[in-house]
Amino acid sequence: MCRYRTVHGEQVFIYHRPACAGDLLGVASRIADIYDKRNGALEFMVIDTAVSRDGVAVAVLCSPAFAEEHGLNRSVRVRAQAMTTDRPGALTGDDVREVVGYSMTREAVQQVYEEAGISPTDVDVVELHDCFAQNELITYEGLGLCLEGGAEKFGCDGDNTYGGKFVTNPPEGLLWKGHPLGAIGLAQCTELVEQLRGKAGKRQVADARLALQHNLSLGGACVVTLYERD
Amino acid sequence: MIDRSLIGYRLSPHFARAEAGRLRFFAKAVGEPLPAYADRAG
Repeated sequence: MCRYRTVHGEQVFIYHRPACAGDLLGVASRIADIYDKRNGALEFMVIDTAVSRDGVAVAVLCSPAFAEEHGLNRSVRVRAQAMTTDRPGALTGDDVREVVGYSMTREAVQQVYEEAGISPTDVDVVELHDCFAQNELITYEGLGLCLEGGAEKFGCDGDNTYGGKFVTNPPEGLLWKGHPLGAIGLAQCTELVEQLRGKAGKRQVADARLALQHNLSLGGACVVTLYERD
Repeated sequence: MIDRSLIGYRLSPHFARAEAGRLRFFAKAVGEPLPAYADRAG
């Protein structure tokens, strides 16, 4: 297409939400249509551009007294939590699983299982940080949901979803969420709390009592949290 | 003729910062009187 014979035509803007100074905006364009008039004397190219920004996630952290005073739902509590970081050399060694936090996941979840005095099989529902497709498989093993090397079979047997041993990522993980970086942890927390309160609608895991959250930042911090329904 | 098979083609996505200075400049250019649009602190 010769740019010297191109003119800029009409534009239409549809505003869904305000964008503010400092927002990081994602810009994605596609060619929606190409047509011509007068036997090709004029050709038109229609380009749709979607501009999006991260959403907003908020959690209210309060004391038990405040929750009591305001009648907030306290049916779900944090039973155990651990935070770990990468071992020295994790990013330069030969094991590529270490680049995506395999050991820090393993260490964090072992601390949580020990602190809570439970085993992985006691967990009903899991939100895990599948920031890449293979991370989901690696993390099944890291969290002890299956044996090391057993993730493929675990998935093929359907043990990672409804009717299997665990339900992992009920709303389809980070792909579904759009990998919203800092909001991931809160989104996972919200989903698990709703699961434990029995308010997860068609995603509801029957009689969920223990929920495990795995949130990761590569290179590296890993937070694993176990939530419990009273 | 522009190749019609390009319909549906997705251009490479990119990110851009809504930069305060440009917004301030725009507010000035259109004569926006509300200080909220030019507030450096905000």
